[in-house]
Amino acid sequence: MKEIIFDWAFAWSLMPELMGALGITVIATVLGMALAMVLGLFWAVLRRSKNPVMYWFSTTVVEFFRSTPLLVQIYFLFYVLPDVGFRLSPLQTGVLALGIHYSAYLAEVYRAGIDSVPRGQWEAATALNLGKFHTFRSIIFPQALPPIIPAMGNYLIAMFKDTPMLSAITVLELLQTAKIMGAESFRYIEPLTLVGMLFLILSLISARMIRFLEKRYVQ
Amino acid sequence: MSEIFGWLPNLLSGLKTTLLLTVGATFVACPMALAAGLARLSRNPFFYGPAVCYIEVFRGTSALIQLFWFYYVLPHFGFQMEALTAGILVLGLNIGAYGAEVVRGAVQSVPREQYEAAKALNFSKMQTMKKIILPQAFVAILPPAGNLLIELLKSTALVSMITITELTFKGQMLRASTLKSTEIFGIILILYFLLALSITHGIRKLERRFSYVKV
Amino acid sequence: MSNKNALKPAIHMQKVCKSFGKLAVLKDLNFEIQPSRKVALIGPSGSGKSTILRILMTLESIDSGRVMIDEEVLYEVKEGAPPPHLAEEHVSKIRAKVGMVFQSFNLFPHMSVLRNITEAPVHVSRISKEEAEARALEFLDLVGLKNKVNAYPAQLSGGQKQRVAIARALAMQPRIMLFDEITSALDPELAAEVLSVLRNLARTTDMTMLLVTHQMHFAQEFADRIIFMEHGTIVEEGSPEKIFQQPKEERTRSFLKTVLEAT
Ligand SMILES: Nc1ncnc2c1ncn2[C@@H]1O[C@H](COP(=O)(O)OP(=O)(O)O)[C@@H](O)[C@H]1O
Ligand SMILES: [Mg+2]
Repeated sequence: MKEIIFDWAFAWSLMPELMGALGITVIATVLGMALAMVLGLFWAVLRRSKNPVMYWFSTTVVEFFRSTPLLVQIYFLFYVLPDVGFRLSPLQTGVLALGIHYSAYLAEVYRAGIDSVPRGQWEAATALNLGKFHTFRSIIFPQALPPIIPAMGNYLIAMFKDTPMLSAITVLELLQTAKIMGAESFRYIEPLTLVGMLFLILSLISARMIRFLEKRYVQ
Repeated sequence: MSEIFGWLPNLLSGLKTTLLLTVGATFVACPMALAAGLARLSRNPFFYGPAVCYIEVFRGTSALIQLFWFYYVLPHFGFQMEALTAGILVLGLNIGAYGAEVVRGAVQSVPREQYEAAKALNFSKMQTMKKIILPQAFVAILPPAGNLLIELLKSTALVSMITITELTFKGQMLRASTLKSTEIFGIILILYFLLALSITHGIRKLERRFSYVKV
Repeated sequence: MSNKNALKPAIHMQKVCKSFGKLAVLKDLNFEIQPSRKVALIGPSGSGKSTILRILMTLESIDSGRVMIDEEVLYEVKEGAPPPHLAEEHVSKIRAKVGMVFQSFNLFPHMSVLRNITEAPVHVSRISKEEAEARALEFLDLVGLKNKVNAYPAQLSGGQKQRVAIARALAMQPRIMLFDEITSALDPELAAEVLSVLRNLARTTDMTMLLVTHQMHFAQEFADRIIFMEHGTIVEEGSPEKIFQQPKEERTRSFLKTVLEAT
């Protein structure tokens, strides 16, 4: 048996296409994160509402999004949206699913950040007769930000690692591309290993960066 | 409505496989998390070296890619395994890596004074770990372990992509034959949600049972 | 027991040096304590009192010098030489003679009071569970907490926690007991109940006791010898009468003046 186990030349020839796929992966992550940040803030604000219906609704929705599989949510959007008249590309559907799923996690992040600001700060601001909005923007938010930033970074990495699920709806991100390469060449070792390595390297680097942010902001 | 009853046998058999995957992977994850978490704290490079590699590789790559790698690539190295085995193994190893960090954090959260008190009473290192540190760490482990268990449950959906006929796979099949996407995926999402809720509930019960701050 | 052979100190420290990084905490420290003596260690905070106790309990190592417990070497380090590796078995044998009560109690929060006290006797000294429990009840009685056997540490007041900690240390039947500011985390009235337990103990046992305290009145009635230290060296030692009524050293006088004024 003189078969080559890992064919470096073949692996090398795959790189340009994989880099293109990495671009799609990064786009999906960035857009998904942007959506999650906005939507998450929306949930977080609803959850602070004094109206019990709003509170219950937002809590349940967040809980639901968070504790059901992203993959099934992707399928749901992919198959149900066209039925009700929304025609989105697979990538758009994927970004929507990522954004919705992670908005639930980010709602928690915002909440924890805001809760980490001592009550006395609200009270001091009230005593100074600052308006509610002003209090939030200039007193609470700047203090809530430091713990929020690294936590957000962690979810950014988590989302990045979840993008391979978009392969299930034919988005040409890294995993889907690797699968196609494997099917065409009957060699799965190189594409799958390369994709794994790419993820590993990128998440290690970003984890480092987040640890740096943590050191800088959380004290 | 009656249509839904027609789907039930399929959904239930999928649910059974999902539960099997969750329980099986938990049995892989727990010992891995404990061993790697403790090894990570050791000063001996023969222990922490492999632990760091395991933790970083499984947390640094994505579960789905690990699944494909185990299923499509490992056979080239002579490790042939069934899809279900690969699924349980990968999901367990993946969550175990996250669990290792939880274990490490929990053990580190036990104050140094507890080690000192144990030493003053002449407990051996082993006894100190087993009787003093780990029981206290356990209480700190429970809540994050509950979250990880839910992550694990969610990740079982991934194995539908290597042809394991669990809940999500059954859903795909039913959708293909009936085209009732909303109902089918709606039901499946609710089933997952209920499972997750019961996990949360169970963990909360355990927390109450084991919390020692009985005031 | 009448083993009051003055030639056999229970604790013997010779030329002990210890530093944390650049900070020299103990500088060439020498002292010995005869068996059954009750000694109070006083001095400003940061002078190295806790470090001495922690070395005797093997919670810290030394940089150079020799530490002996009951004539057996616990640590012996030549200056500049790497610390010799002591067999855990040997250290453990010596450690069994020493018990310690900490400022912050350090009870095991996940165990009931009874198990806090019996765990080490059962698993370290390997006496039977029944015997350990019977003994635990005796010690709990001694510290006045027999009614708390089944309580958990979180349910106790600070004073009660500290009394359980004393019972826990006593249950290992050490020959030497170390107390490190065991009342300084407590309110005065809770401290009083702990001190009264300690006073009793000092009168009724022949254990060697080394106590660090900031309460000079208590030191005076508890101890038969006082050691005053500052900046990692012993400044003066002697009977309570001598130290408190006619201290020789200026530094002792000014320390006592500050402490007594503060209280
Ligand atoms: N683990 C340690 N690391 C660094 N410095 C320490 C450590 N333990 C004690 N020190 C320092 O050593 C000095 C003596 O401490 P200690 O023995 O606790 O003094 P005392 O009990 O008399 O107040 C203090 O300055 C203290 O800050
Ligand atoms: Mg001290």
